[in-house]
Amino acid sequence: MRNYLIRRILQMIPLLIGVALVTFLVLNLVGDPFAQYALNPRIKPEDIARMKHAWGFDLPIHLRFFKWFWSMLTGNWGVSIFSGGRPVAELVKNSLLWTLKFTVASFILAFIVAVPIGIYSAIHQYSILDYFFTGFAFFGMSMPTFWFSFILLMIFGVRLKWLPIGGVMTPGLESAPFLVRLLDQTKYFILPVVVLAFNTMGGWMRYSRSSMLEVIRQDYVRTARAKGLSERVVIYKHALRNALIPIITLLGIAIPGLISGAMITETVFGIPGMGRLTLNAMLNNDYPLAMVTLLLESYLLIFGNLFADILYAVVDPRIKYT
Amino acid sequence: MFKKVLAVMLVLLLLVGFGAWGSVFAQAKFPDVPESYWAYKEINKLVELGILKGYPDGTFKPGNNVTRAEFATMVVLAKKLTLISPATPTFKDVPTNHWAYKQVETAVKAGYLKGYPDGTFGPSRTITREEMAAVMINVKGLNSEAAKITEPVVWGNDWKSISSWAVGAVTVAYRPDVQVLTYRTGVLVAPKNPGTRAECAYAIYRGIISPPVQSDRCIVGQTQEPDALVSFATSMMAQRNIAMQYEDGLIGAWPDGTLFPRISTNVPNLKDGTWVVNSDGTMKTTYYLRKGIKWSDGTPVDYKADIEYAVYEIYLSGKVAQIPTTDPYDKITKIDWPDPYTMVVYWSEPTPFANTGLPIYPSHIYSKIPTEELVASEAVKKPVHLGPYKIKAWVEGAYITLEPNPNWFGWVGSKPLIKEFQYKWYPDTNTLMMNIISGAIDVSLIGLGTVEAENAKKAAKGVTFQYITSTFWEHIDINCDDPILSDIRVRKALILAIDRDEIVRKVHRNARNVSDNIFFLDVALTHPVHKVPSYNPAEAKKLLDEAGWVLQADGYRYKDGKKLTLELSTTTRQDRKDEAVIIQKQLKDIGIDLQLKFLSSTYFFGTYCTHRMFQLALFAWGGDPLEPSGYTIWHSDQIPTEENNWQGQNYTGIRDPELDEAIYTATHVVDPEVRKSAYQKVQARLNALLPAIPLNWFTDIYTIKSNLAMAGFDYTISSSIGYTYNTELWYFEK
Amino acid sequence: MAISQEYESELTTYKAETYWQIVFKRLKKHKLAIISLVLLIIIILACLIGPFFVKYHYNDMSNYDPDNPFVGEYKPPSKYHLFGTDELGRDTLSRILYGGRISLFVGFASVFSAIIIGVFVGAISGYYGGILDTLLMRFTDIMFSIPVMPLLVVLATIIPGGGVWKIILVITIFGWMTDARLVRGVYLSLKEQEFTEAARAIGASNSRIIWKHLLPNSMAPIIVSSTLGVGGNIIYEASLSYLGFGIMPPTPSWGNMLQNAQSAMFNAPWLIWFPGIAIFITVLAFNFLGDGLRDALDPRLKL
Repeated sequence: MRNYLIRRILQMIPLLIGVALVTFLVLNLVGDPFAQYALNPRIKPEDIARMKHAWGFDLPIHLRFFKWFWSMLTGNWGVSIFSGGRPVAELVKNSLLWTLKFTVASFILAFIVAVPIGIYSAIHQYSILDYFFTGFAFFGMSMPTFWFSFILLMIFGVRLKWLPIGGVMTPGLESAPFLVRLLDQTKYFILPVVVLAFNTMGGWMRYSRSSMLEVIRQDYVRTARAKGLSERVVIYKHALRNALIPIITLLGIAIPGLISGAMITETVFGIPGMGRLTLNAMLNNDYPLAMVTLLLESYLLIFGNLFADILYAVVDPRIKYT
Repeated sequence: MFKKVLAVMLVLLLLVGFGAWGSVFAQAKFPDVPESYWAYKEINKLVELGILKGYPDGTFKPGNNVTRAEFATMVVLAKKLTLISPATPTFKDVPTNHWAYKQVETAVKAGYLKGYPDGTFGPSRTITREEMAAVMINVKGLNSEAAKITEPVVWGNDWKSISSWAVGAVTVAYRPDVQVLTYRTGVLVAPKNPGTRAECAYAIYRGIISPPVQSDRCIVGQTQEPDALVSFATSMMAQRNIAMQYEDGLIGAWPDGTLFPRISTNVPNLKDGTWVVNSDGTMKTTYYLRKGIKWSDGTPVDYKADIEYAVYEIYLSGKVAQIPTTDPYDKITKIDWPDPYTMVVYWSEPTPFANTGLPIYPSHIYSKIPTEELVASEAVKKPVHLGPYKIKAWVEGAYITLEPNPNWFGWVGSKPLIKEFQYKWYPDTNTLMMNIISGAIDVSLIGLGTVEAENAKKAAKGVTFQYITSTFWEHIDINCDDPILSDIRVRKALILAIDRDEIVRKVHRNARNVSDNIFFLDVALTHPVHKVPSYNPAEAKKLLDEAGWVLQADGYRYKDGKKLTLELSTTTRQDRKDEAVIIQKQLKDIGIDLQLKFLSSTYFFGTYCTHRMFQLALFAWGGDPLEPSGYTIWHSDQIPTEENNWQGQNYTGIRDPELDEAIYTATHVVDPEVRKSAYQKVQARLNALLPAIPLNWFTDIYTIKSNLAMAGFDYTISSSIGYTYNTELWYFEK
Repeated sequence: MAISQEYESELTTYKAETYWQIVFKRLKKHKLAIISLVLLIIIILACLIGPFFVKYHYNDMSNYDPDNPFVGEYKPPSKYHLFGTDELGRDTLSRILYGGRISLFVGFASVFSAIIIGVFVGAISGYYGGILDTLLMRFTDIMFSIPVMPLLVVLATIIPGGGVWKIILVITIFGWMTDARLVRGVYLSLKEQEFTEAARAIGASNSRIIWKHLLPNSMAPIIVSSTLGVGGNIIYEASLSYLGFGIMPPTPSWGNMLQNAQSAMFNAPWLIWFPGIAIFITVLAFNFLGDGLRDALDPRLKL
């Protein structure tokens, strides 16, 4: 087990470097972020050169990569070009808080809805309810998120005026008690949470369903039935536990999703989260910020995978790793 | 006697005539007061209420003078006072049979007007603007407050000409909760000029009928959140709008570009010695700064410390990486302080920006932070400054709120009208549109595109859409070094073949203004602008024939076996693509094969244009009405080349000694007369050389709730004037 | 020698069924999947041949008079225009049909190219193993770990052009990894099995083994992931259009029709509903079908 862990971690290192390299190269293809300043006749060439130097753009590409990679690892994430000189770490922290608020909620919502109906569908395969639940789960992922968000906003925001149209907080409540703020923010987050939850529900439901199906067909389940145990005991005591194992391990993979946010949903609802931060950084060529956010997401994905694998190994006794 | 009878008969006739037409005329619109007239609403309301009437010929003649008797009448009518008719007249020249006898007596009794020391009233004398102000102040009962004011606090460039007895009245007349006076063109108080009928209507409307009222809040939506609040850390327009509310400066700029004094009491100019240009090119400007100014945290301003800190430590030290440009402060050689309120600035070379003031920041707060860390510090997130509002809260990503700054010198005892401003961010324009339609926001600042605005107009009620021409000039740069395009006949043919009206009609649905001039800024210094020849495809075809490009059977022109193929490159903006498609069609009509190339903006601006790889480049220059400049765009030593590391913005590559000399003079000399004639020469040369094809100006679309008074203007905005330049005057009418 | 009577009854009419016939039989049990299959066939046919039968060309702006812009535009559904018209007077129905061609083409083509790359990488990697496997899998992992949407945006901006092929390329670049992993997994498990050894024994070359013997066995998971992939790619295309990087007008696609129409939602809601519902039904159908296929192709399910 320990050897497996060590091997996995060693295997990860080239992966981490490789991801950094690919991201760096792709972003460099996009080009010089200071180009737009050329349009303003009052900004002199010396000013542009000064800015270029400040961000290390006058170095050749390989030197730039190493300089940047080293600073990334040592936690010196630098300063964003287009966000008024604020440190990247601070921008990421602020965005992360907002993103987590709604991704965690949508994740929980998706999970508690999708898993039970997936299991139910597996048990009652081909029944009407199976179709209904499958349809329900696939509903959200069969539409572009911006369209779904839009329709919801139109109905609940403009026509019914029940919910605010975009935004995250009502001004004036900065120092209000926690509960008041929570209630206020709920109004803003209901719709994005629903949209996101519906989007991910499908995948979870399908996975739980197939996991459960696989377990049900195992010999030991047939044995349990043959032993005369009631169907309920067979399902809930024997099958379910084993079906849940792979589902739990999926949590490891889901964590990066929590943090990377949902670019389009955040833009439509005006939530200043990681998704929007990344998107804006990409579009503005805000080089230091873009690198950090991309790398953060990639690394989390890699670590999430590792975590899932470890969890799987720990939880599933059948797996042996030399 | 006869004259009096005539006057009475005339008045009777008028009254009878208008009585008969009364109801009709009350609603009627006047041909000389169109809907776009600045006092349209006020005039029509007053006519409707019977306080003012038009002339028998159907006009209103808003520019006519108003006599004192007429004004007294208006006031009395508006205040719905019961007319008194004392047996003995108070004034020698207003006898009991004077047509305005009762009104004058009532007005005087109420304390609104006074007679002269010699016992006369002067009923036929025209009322001056400062007298108007005094009357309205009396009407509103603010005379005791006005009496306490000794120094005028007005934005007018001519504040010195206000009579000393009227200083208080005029100041209070301009203050936010009174607002009975407006500024005349050139930002002038014009205190001794006669008030016009329109101005009187305005004063009565604001003063009596519908005075400014307080509201709790105004919600503003933008598509972008500013990346920083302090002006030295960013150049985003999103920040400019908020900055105009919480910052104040030495010199202000009116939306039409006119400068006026704010914290400074004068705008340096070449006529009165406050701006001296020496023969060696050095200059000296003198500012007389206001006394009693405090920062929003209550600390009194120390001009020497605060201005020198801003100029030397923030802008010129190089320690703040975000400063977009150090121009013009890098030309300052010395700042002298003969006394704490007089600032003399010495400049090493001529710059037209020497009279726009200097930056000022609270050194008592900022100097405590190392300058390199200033932009990232907490202090600049809730910055202290001098404007009418101050930052209440900034919840990043969510909103910024502002509240009135009680230490602002411009209130002069006024109650703030809007008690809170909330700025919210909606990066998706459709979400912004939904908020406008549902009425959730009161103002939207830039963000809506023309198509969205058109759609929103149909669905939104009670919202006014303002289309303001911005200074971004859409055009096509022609690479004059290209073998085909170096032929002036080809360039002229291109200009003749492009129908600019069609582009604006089809792509922009008439929401933009067509541009017909190559030197695009039409400001005082460049007026009149020279127009290029108008659309004439027949002429274009002739020119191409002359140039040797012969039309073949396939519909395209050839010369020496080569097809006349040109490449038009631009960015991937949807409206640019649409424009390009139409231009392609128009050029095909004269036999030119136009290939379209759409590039990402970073590549286009960063490489394709700067390295002059294009033949025709479609994009927009941004201008500044305060200063037309143009040196970097048209001078031959500003052509970007590999040797000079691609510096300069003369992408067209035009090289003309006459043009060079003219543009150099225009941008390196300070005397406006010399500059004006130089700019005329520049334009003449440009129209002879035709290095670029003008197309249109961008439009910025703003929406405001229809009952939000004082918001908006229809001038071109420069990059430094935001829509929010006068938010202290905004109020929601009931 | 005749078979005696008593054994005839034991000769069951057991028809030898091919693998695909078995699969189809199992698929039929999943009613929703069958409905979806039928629906998809209808949709695809409609988009392929529909444009030939509609009255108005999808780019026909003859209704639209820019000097009088409010005449032809935004007509609600009527008997002349079944789905109404858009902001330039174009008939929505024909745009939906033609746009469907484009969107479906993008969906299928990107899945197809992803399969080609993925299968190639997975097969080589799985079969040969060793360093090649490690290298290819590391690369696949790297591509897996990079967040898709931001880089889709970046690629869409730097690759010039705006046509259908660019979108397909961009989506493919991030879409081949799933297939590669799937195929590799199958190859890894199959290459040690007896039938592979047998094939080797009779002298089949490596490439023959890879492509002729092992590949058919990996088709099942590929088919499932591809069916789901088409739906996913149609949504990707719509999302890219929303961000401004998708198919460029005047070529219609369901994605860019949605994006164009958003601002008109209050005046012309049909412009939002029709393309959106078209996407929704199509992708939902692909999802159901894929789900049904997964059930049907699951080798562990016993009949």
